[in-house]
Amino acid sequence: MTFGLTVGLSMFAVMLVLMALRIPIAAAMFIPGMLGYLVMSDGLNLMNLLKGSAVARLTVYDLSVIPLFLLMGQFATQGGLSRELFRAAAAFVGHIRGGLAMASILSAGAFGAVCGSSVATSATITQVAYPQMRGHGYHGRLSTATLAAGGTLGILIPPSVPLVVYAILTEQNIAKLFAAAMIPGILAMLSYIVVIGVMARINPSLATRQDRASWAMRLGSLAGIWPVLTIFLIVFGGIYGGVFSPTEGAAIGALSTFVAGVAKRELTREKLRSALAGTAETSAMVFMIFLGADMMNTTLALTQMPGQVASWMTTLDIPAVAIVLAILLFYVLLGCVMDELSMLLLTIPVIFPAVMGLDLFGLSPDLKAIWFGILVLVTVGIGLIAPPIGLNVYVVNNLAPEVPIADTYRGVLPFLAADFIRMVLLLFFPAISLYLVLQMG
Amino acid sequence: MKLLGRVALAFALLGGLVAFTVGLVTTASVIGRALFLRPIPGDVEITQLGIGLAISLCLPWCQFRCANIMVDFFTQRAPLAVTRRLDAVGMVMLAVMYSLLSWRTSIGALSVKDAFEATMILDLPMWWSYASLAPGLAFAAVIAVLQAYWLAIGRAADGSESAASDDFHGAAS
Repeated sequence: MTFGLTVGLSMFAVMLVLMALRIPIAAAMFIPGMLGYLVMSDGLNLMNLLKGSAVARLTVYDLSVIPLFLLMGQFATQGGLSRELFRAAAAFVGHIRGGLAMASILSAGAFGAVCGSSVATSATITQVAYPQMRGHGYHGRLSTATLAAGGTLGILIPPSVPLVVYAILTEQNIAKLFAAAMIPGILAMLSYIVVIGVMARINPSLATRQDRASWAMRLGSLAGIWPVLTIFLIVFGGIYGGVFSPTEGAAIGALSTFVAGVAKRELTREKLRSALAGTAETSAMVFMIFLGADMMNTTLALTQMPGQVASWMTTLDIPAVAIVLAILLFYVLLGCVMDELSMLLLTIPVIFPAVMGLDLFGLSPDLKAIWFGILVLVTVGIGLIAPPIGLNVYVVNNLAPEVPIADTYRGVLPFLAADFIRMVLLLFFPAISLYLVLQMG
Repeated sequence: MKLLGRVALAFALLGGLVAFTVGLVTTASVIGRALFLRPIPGDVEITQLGIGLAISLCLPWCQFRCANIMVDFFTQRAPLAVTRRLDAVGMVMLAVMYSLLSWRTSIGALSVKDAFEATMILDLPMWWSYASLAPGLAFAAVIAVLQAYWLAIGRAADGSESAASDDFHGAAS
């Protein structure tokens, strides 16, 4: 083993130990990365490097899309845009057994179209839908599991913070990645609805039916969803149509959700403060992880470990698709011990070049990168609800503590099965994610 | 600690407002470009400078709220006294990270200032973007040090004696 490889592996080992011992992930990457740098180089170089590392990460035009999308999601959350979405969805499907759970999925998907964070989506929809489901005699486990799974639509349906991170790490076009996520996102939504329908049929005590809403009521309920629809059409119409960049789209989206919230008289002073403070908290957290991962990755580059891993993977005598499948399963496992954002930041610089070196269905490099990005996004979604540390499950549990967390994990299993099926479909049929991208030209 | 929290929140609200202003400028620029073929000159530079400032102003609040994401799965059964000591170590490490970055970024600001570097379109001095990051980083470091101290002597991160305030959380995606 070379000296570099030894240092690289030790850094990884120390990082994992620190993470297991509750050290905040940003520091668990930064400190070993820094010590490794001292070993590979010296203190003088480290001091020089650190002069520019904060500026290099915090003042990047492309990354400003993250706080702006977070701001948009916060305004949508505090501006009460989710309530009308759920009401409209419930008017249409509430009469089916399990219909309110299906309505939760539909409204989470619609909310995901203006919010790039799964945690915000779970939290928002839970506040609206959970009391309704429980009030109508839905089983606790079905309710919380639906909301945790539905929350992943926040990132599966664009905008999506993890997808932005992937785009920046791999220097891909954000607009194309968003387009590629659209059909798989809708597929996720439909598959969750099917899961609910099947569960309610197998075990009717899980869910109830509501009175069928009249068409007048249904059409009336649609009036409440036009702000979300308009914002989505402007932001994504503009981004896909090439009228403005994703950063500009995010800025316009943030501003228009703000206007919608103020016009609805929902966005009071108090809620505005919460929206800004919430954006501050999450943005800072995300960028701290960036800073930590940067330190780690700079040192890893010095150790030449990423290159060695990449060249080792291309020499493997296994079909390329099997290698990708193995990578995805590795991601699912890694997602059990660390958070998804740091997972992407630490592994994509190593794994992406290797994947690009494989021949997969004869795809061009750009299309391959987009297709792989959507697959990675699916594994991130799985990590958000899979035991033992599904972030979404925690969020829902926080808001609905009367349902034990173990129950929610049990309820989530059918949704996870749907996720795995979708992952395999996307793996073997790249056309599902690439169709819209090719239409964009 | 109350005062500290209030100042951190003020920083965060200011940071949020700066981000919102960046959104306003960008939107105005898009509208200007679409309707009058005249974007706001240097909108990209304003965004870069503004977002950097905004994020650095958000750091102290994130630190104050202990919102830096961490894994608590493996230590769920550990007694409170143990987890608080571990968290103290974590805060020390974060403090090292903040203070190194703050110190080196300030040094960077000085050397860039001496070199008279400026942005392409608006001719904004480059050292501004360096200097704008330092206060947020430095304040976050101070908060982390105080939290480390409280946790090390067995209190909660906000200095109180109660167990209920050990509400660590984070929201990655």
